[in-house]
Amino acid sequence: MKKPGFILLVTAIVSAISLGAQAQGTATPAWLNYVGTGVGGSFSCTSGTCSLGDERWFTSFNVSAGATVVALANNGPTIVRSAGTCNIAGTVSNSVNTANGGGVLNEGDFGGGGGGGGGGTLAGRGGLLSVGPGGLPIVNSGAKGAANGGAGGNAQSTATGQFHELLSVGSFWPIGGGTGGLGGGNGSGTTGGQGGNGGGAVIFVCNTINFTGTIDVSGAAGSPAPADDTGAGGGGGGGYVVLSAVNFTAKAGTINVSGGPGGSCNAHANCGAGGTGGNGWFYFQTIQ
Amino acid sequence: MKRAISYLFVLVLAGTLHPHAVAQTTVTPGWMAWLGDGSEGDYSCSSGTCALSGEHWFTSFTVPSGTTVVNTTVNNPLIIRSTGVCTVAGTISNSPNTGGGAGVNFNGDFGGAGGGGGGGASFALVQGSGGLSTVGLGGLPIANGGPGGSAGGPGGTGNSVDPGQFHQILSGGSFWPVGGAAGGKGGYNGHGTGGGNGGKGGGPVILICSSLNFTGAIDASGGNGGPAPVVNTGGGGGGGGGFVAFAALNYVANGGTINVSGGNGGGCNGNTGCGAGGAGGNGFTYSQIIQ
Repeated sequence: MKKPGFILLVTAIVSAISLGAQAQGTATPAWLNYVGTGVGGSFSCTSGTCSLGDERWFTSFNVSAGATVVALANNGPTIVRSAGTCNIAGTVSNSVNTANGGGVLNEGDFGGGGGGGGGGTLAGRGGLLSVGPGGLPIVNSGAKGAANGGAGGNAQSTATGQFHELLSVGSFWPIGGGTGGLGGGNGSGTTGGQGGNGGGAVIFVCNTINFTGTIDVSGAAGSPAPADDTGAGGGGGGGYVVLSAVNFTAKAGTINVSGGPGGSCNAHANCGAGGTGGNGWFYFQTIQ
Repeated sequence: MKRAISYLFVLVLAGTLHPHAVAQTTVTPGWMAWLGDGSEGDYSCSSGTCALSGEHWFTSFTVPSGTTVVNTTVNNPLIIRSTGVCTVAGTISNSPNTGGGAGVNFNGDFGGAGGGGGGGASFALVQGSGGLSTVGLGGLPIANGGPGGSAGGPGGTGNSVDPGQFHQILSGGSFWPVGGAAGGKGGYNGHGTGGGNGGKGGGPVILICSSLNFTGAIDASGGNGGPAPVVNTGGGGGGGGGFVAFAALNYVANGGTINVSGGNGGGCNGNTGCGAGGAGGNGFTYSQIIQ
């Protein structure tokens, strides 16, 4: 009679373990689990500047020390999924602050808002928001500078309760920070300083990430006022960076998600300075 | 002894086969299985009313009886992910009908659409405004808002969201759930006096927790339209109802009260030359067992 009891006990334990393993929540958001098909093969940028944008599915990814990968175009994310190792020893940029870099010339999504343009004789323009479906505001931008030299407002940075939303569910087109507002004109055909581009989004989902280099998604500075009676441009909002991997060999690299500073008046009279762009954010996810 | 070893072997073999059984289609949408990382610790609304908006990752979430958690930021969802127990014995609100509640003053997404504003009537024959629709990316309409009332006519009722529409968000999630749409404003009198304001929509409330004990109340209802303020103005349309979604490994209780109703249209308040506002459409509720 002892044997059946023993077997029953073992069965119960195995069943309990088995059911326990099934009935769990997910420890990693699904979109941060997917490493792609590898259809793009192996990517390696070993020197100079290489262009890469949108979403790519590689077997491995490498940017060597001294080399730079920049986003191809404005308003596009840089997303890399790889079933192999992603080695970032050089620089990956989705910012206009890197030569030939793109950034955001539009509204953003979960990056910082754009700073407001300063006022000239005419009022400046508000910075662009970060927005969700249907143009719904998520992260507010800086207010426009009032006519006759009012300063542009500083934009908001992305709050935790806002960007958690993107991390949980993902987005079919991540964007980044909003563009800064244009400085006010002089009323006689001369416009104010341009708003800075927002920083874009950089996302890596790889089996292994070795990050010792730099990732730059900072917003650009607003342009200074070009003449008397014009305002300076607002700074662009900072973008965001997400790194997700089963293993992190290293994650000690440098990440820049700062909003851009507002443009200055450059000693011109009747000018409002541009507002600062809001900061973006970054996040590391260990795939489990 | 040999027999026992044989049984054990069979059990171990079954265990090794088990992973193959797991590798099947998913029965829980991915976004509803993610409990967050607990990085914001324990949350408890200890007394009175507590403000909370956006998405938060807690280790536990508690709303005791007699307390209220309310979203005070307009156009924001209220989403809780918790690696531990969520206990809702009090009230959670993402509705303008709760004091301090913000709701939605814009287009919604998968809640009810806003009711149309009633028409005013005067020599100018000013119509009420249509209720706002619920929309997807790029402003694509999902559930239509009620039409504005013609001069002196009633506003139309906003559409309620139907399963063929809200199944979409349940399957795929959304990076910014919105809720119901706002109602339309009542028609003017042609002399500068506007009609009643449209009611705000109700927002989303989403709880994704290891365990859920829900015995309290959740309010995601749309706001009522404002009544016509004077003769020859219309009543405002009601706001659309928001939505409530739960996902949990275990439900200790799931018997609380949920309100996702659209708001009523504003009345004419005895004023002549007035159309009443239309009602907002209803939202939806859903419970998912994570498996």
